[in-house]
Formats: sequence, structure tokens, C-alpha cells
Amino acid sequence: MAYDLLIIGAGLSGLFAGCLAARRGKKTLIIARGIGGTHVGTGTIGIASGDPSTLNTLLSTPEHPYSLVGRKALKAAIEQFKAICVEAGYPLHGEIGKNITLPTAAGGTRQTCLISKTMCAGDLNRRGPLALANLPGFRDFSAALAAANLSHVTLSREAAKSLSGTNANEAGIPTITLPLPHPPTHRDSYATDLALLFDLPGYRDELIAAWQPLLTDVPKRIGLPAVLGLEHAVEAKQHLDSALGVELFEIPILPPCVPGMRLFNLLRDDFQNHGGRLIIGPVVSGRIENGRAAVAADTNGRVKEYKAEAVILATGGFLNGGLVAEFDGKIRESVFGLPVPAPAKRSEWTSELFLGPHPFARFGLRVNKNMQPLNADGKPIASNLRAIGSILAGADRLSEGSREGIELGTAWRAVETVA
Amino acid sequence: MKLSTEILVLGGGATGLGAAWDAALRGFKTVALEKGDLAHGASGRYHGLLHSGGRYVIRDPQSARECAAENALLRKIIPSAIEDTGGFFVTTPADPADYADQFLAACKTCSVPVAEIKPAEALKREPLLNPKISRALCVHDASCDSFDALHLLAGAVKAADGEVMLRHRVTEIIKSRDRVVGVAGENLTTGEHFTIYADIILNCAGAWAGRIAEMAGCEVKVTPGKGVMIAMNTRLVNTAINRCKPPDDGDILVPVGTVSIIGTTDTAVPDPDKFAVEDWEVELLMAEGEQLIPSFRQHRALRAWAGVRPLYEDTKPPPGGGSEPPGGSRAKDSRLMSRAHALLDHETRDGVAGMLSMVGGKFTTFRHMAELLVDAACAKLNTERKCTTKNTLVEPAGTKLHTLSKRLSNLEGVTQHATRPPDYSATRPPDALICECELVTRAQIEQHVRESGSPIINDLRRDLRLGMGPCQAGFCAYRAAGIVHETLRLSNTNVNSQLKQFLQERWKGERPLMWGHSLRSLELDLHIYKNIFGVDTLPTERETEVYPTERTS
Repeated sequence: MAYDLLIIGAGLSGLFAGCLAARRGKKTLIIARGIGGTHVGTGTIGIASGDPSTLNTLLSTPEHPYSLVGRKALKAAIEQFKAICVEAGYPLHGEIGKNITLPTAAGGTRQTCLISKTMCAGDLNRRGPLALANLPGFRDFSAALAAANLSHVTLSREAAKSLSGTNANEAGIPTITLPLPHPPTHRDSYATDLALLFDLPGYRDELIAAWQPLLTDVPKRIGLPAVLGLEHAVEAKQHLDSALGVELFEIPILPPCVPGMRLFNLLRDDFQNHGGRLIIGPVVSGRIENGRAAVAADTNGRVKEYKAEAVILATGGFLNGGLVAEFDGKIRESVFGLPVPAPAKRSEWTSELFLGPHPFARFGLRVNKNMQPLNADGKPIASNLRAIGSILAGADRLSEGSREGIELGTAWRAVETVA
Repeated sequence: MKLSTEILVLGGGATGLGAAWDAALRGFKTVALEKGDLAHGASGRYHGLLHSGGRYVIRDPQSARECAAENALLRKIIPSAIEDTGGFFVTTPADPADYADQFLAACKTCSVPVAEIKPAEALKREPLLNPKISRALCVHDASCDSFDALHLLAGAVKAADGEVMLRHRVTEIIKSRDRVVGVAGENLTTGEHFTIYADIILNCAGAWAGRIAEMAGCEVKVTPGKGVMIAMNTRLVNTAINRCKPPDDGDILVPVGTVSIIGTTDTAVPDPDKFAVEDWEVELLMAEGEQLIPSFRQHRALRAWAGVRPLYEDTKPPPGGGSEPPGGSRAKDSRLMSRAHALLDHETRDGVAGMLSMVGGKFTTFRHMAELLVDAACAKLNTERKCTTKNTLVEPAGTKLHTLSKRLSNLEGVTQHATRPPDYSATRPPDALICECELVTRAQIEQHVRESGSPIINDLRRDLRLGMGPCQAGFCAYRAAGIVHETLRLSNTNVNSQLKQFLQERWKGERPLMWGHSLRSLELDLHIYKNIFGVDTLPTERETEVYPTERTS
């Protein structure tokens, strides 16, 4: 069986590219070693932090993925992504060029562009006091520390005053202890454990009964760790909000990331509903033959060749296995062994400061405007090969707040050129 | 703060706390000062081997004998800090074939217990070991958690009415004519100035002993010998494995807790506070590791660090009290410098009374060194009090040697994790496991923080092993910061500073090893702390210190 398009990698860029191609009627296969970066993300779509000029700068920085994608394609990608989310019943809030400032679970701030409705009430530029919920026994969220830090956040004085209540800033942001009925007693809960409970209407009824009496006399915007349901998050929030008379909002916490998993699930469903095929598990290897990319997958020793007109490499950066740093100071692209330029001395890859910025963040594949990986001479390595997402060189995604924007924009651009 | 004492010990490593414990047991009013935390120097930065003596039988028989005797004693005195791993000396194809026979003969001479087993038997016990080994000699090596050992000792000092003062830095030695009468310095936690007068001062400052002596106007040449070690992220072996050859770089692999540690290199450095882990040292240790374990490079290197051995170079003839250092002095290669200890009487040596120094030596023989030192102090103070540390148990009689499974059984003892079947009616959630890698619970952290009053997360690491496992604090640092904040009710800016400092401290040891899974792990950690938590946006009380011990290359 031959495919029009084969995508390697099932993270945000691979799945989105799959949806785009499948929606265009292309016979598409996504094949991946494992689940991608969505599960360790924040479930939000960052394009560029800071004011709108940051995005303009990146769009005009040579070799930055955004400059290769261009504003028009980036915008189209974001619009299409939002449309898919709306269709899935999980609409995202926000628009390109405007950032939303959200609280982090440590009480810091993070700027991002698109957020789920479950996070909207956390927008720090919105008026009105807020509180943070402490879920006793749940170790992955420290409401007290987050609240203490958020009380010091330097927003506009008006906004700060507004956040911390009617009177003075000194009062700070309060925390409310909201116990969970039936905490699991045999082991610690992860975000996913709680999210699965929040999916159940019966469990939410118990929460409402337990929390109702605790919510008199507290701010009505209440932040809690991002556990508001995995499959039925929007429904769970509406149910709790209306019954409790509050506006809950989610704050992303330590992985596993429930909002990211929702994005994975909705993209996977959209892809499959449009006829795409998804295989997760095999070790994928590729080779370049006569200027074309060919792909084989090894499932426990059984090797299968897959034929496809075009191949998109969406295997991610170091974290997700697209790039591998070797002991000898070489960096290898993990599927095709494509060249990845980097300094030979490992000490030049990182900064002496943990929080960086680290030079390795910019390592990756060089591509042209068609997302074709280039060799040292700047020529495409294979006519039918594209590379997208976090494997691309030239961006410090953490410092720029650009990870998801690059994923979506490059996926859009690559599919445009092959399908 | 001003106080006076009979015996003042400078240094909170094994030698210093050993001396403080010994002196307190003999009934002296005793104070021990340490500029950092317990085990700040070489005691906290070695490979964890409790020497059988085997390593020294050929070059330094005296040290070998002392190690063998002290090894047996420490197993009785501080058993819960010691895991009886046993040790092998193995002859790999890269090692001199005739060394094993010399080694066996020398062990006999030095009373170091040894037994030869068949290589096949050694491979059965340690399946990852190089299958080409030709000899395997069993010795009584053990693995010793020096943080645990020093905590036990500090407790024993206090139980004997002595005092241990941490984060007290000595800046001045107070003299009256030619006599040392006390010290002055700064309490680094409070910034308060302190003065302590003492009848006699015992300088046990390890690699810093030369500086202390200099403050008293005495010249003591202590060469800091840097040793680099790498922790691999699993127990590749359950037995301490030594190369059967003359001591050399990367000749030992020790199982410690959940990891195994390969050590060491040995280079003289000019300053015990300024040294770096160099790329060549990492490469050398990884290559030597392959001689012992052929698949070595396929395992993940977790953390690299360096300790500074206090190597004493005798600049003056010993006045009788000290042992002559074998191996020759002023050797260019610090590996050839003596590991033996030397007791310096500054009165006869330098004409400065009131101070004795114990320099050189090794962790395994700390009790013996302490005994010699306090004996000498008794002589100076004209009193005769017998040493009792040989027969004094630091832990209750019947305490067992540490075993790896002990952490799990401890956990089952203190939490509801063991409840079978789960009790769903219980409203109290289980005691949360905060550091999954090293099995540290919320209750342990709360108790520790309450007792110490210290918000320093790095202290929790030393004391509870928080953040020492495969994820290198990626997950637990945030959780621990929250608990410290809630328990001590400190300002958020202080806790933020502690969190950032801890992350920086963890990064220091990971940076020399940035390839393979370690780089992946870094990207995950950055993602967690920069993207999810926005740690760089948190208000802090002070700048994060970047320690000068990081790589310079």
C-alpha cells in the first residue's frame, strides 16, 4: 500500500500536518516511536512572547523557522488549528499578535497566545480578585508558594490591585483548601488520575457538595492545577462553575500535562476521522536513495518498508528524540542521519547558568522555504523530504516562547508544498 | 557571640567530627566549627568506598593495616551508614598479569583479608563485568554514605554534650604571644560575628588546613589533590570493583545507593575552592569504565563532580609525633603523594602553642586519626583520658548494616503506601513521595526542615538524598520548594532564591556530561522550570551564585 504522505512523529507538528493532509484528501500515515511533546507541554500555543514586535523580529530573522514560513502561512496555520479545536468542541481563546499573561504553578508569569477556555479566567490582565486552590495531598501544585509569588507580580498597578482584592496589595492572593473526595490511598496521584475523576459527572457532584460550603467569602476566580478532566474538560468546567458560582481556571503543572493530552487526543481523532492512519510504537529508520527518502519501521525485529510520495520528518528536538547528542561531540538526526552542524566541543553547547540561554537550543536541521532539509552546500538532501517542528535549527524556543507557533507554522508550510 | 571551650575543632568533615566526638566522649567541653554544611569538603565528595586496605597493600602498608582495622570497627560503630558490598580486585586484559600475585602476598603481610575466586564466579555475581578478566580477588570493601555517617557523628557529638556549629567561617586565629587562644569569624547564616576561646584548637580543615595554619603563622603545605568522579545512573555492580594494578585514574567502580560511581582522577590544583571538571577527565573515566564494564558507555552518566584530597607535603622534618609520609614528598603527580595522615604539633614544629593539625589521611581511617589527635591534645593539656571511640556505638546495639532495600521498608513503615487492601475510607491521603528517584517523602522533608530550620534545599539533598537520582531534581525541586515555604513560612523571595540556587547546583554536576540522555533530560528540566514554572520570572532575594568549581574548559 502506498501513501501520499508519510509523517514520522506524533507530536503537535506531526499530528497537525497529518490533519491538514488528511483534510485535503491525501492518504496519510503517521508513524512514531512514541507519543510526542504534547504530554510534557503546557497545552497552550505560544507564538512569540513579549510585545508584537518580537514576532516581527523573528519573522525577519534569516534562518529562523518563522522567516521561512512567513506571516501569511503562520496566520493560516493558526486559524486552521483553531478551527480544528472548535470542531472538536475544545475551542481555544486568543489571536495571533496578542499575548495573554498567565500565572505559572510557581507563581511566575508566562506569555502565550492561544489558551483553552479552561485557562481563560487566569488571564492576569483581567480585572477582579483571584484565589488559588490547594488540593491537599496533591504534591504537584503548591498553592501557597504560587499565591505568595503572584502577589508580587509586577503587572500594572491597577491590575495588581484588582487581583489581590478590593483594598490593598498587601493582602495578597488568598489560597483556599479544597479537599478531594476519595483521594487515592495506595499511591500518589498524578494530574491524569485526577483528570479522569473530574471527567465523571458523579464525582463532580461530590466535589460540589464538598466545596460549596468552603467557597463563601472568597474571590470567585479560582485557579487550580490543570486537572479539570481529560475527555470532558469543557463540560466539567461548566458544571463546576455554574454549580459553585465561581470561575475556575487551570494552571499547567509538572508533566504529565493534561491540557496537552487533550490537544493530542483531539488532533489524533481529527486525523483518524479524516481517514488518516496512526501507528505508534515501531523504531523508524530512513535512508536517502536516488535523491528520495524511503522509510522502514521495525516492530520487535519485524521490519516493514513503507512507500510514500512524500515524507515529513517531525521527530522533535533532543527531548523527543529527533536529535541525538553523541559522546564524541557529534549530533545526529535520529532517523536519516542527516547532518546537524554543531561545535565539536561539548562545553560550547551549554551555558554555565542552568536557566541559559543554551546554544544547543538552536541546533537542528537547516531547511529552505519548502521545509526541505539542506546539505552543507545548501542543496535539498531529498526532493520528497520535509522537516518540521522542533527539529529545525535557528530558534531558541524557550526564550522566544515560540515552540508551538513553529510547530504549527512549519507543518502548514510543509503540507502546502507536498499535498 | 562569644564563648569559651576546652577543645575547639575546626572542620566538619570526617576527621573533625571524629575528633569532636572523641574529645566529647573523653569529657572535654567541645565545639566543632564548619564553614559550610557537614561533609562540605572531601568527606562529601568522594566515591563512597570504605577501604578494605587492598588499594594500599603494596605502596603504603601502614595505611593498608589501618584501613583493614578501621573498616572492621566502623561496621560496628556506624552500621546504618555502611552497605556491605564486598569488593573485588580484578585483572582485566589491560592490567599487569603479575600484579595479582604480588597483591595476594602483600595482603597477607598487611593482615588485609583476601580470598581468590574463579573469574567465572565473579562474573556470576557481577554479570556486567568484563568477561575477559583473568583473576578475581575478594576483599572486605564496603560502600559508606558519608552524609549519613557524618550526621550520625554530629548527633553523637551532641549526645556527648559537644556542639557542632555549621556555616561558621573562621577568619582569624587569635593569638596571645606565641600561643593560639581562640578564633574569630562570621556566622554565615546570620552574618553575626563570633569569637570562641579554647584551651586547644584542633585543625581538621582538610584541604583548607594550610590556610588555617597560615592564619596562626605556621607553614603547612597541603596540596589540594583534585579527584573527579562520575555517578552512573544505575547500580551497574553490587560489589565495589577495583582494577588489580597500581593505583591509577578510573580504577574503581563503587555501588552507592541507586547509582554507581567511577573514580577517580588525581591532579594537584592550586586552590581548594577553584577547580573544574575537565572534558579530558570525563573522557578518561568513561574509557576506563569500559575496561571494567564493556557496556559502560551505553549507560547514562548522571553527574560528575570533584573532591579535593588534602595531600600533605612535609616541609619540615616530623618532630616525632607524625608518621613519615611514604611515597616521597613534592611529587609532581599528586597520585604519588602520600595518602597517609600526619599529626603536626605546632609548638615543637613552629613554636606556636595551643594548636595541633591533622593533615592528609582518608575517610576510612578518620576514627584512628581522631584518636591520635585527641591523645596528643590530652598530652598538651596535661591530662590522661582514655579514648573510648573503639568501643562506643554511635547507633543502638543491634543496628544492622545498610541494605538497598531498607529505603523501601522504611517507606512502608511510615506511610500508607503499604496498606493492603487500600483503605478507601481513609480521608488522609498517603504521605506524598516527593522525590521518586530517592524515595523521599513529604513527612521526612517537613521533619528535617523543622529540625534544621534551614531553607537550603541543597541541605535536604545531602541529608535525605533529595534530587540525587536519575531525574536530578527535575520533578522534586519544585515540590520541595513548596514544602519548605509552607513549613518554615519564609518569604517567597527567599524560597525562590533557594530553588534557583538548588537548580544551579544540580546543573553544575550535570554540565560536563551533556550527551545522550543527559541532554534530553536537560531539555526536559528547562522546559519544566522555564516554560511551565517561569522560574526566571520569580522575584528573588539575591543573585544565584555560580560556583567557581564548575568547568572552565
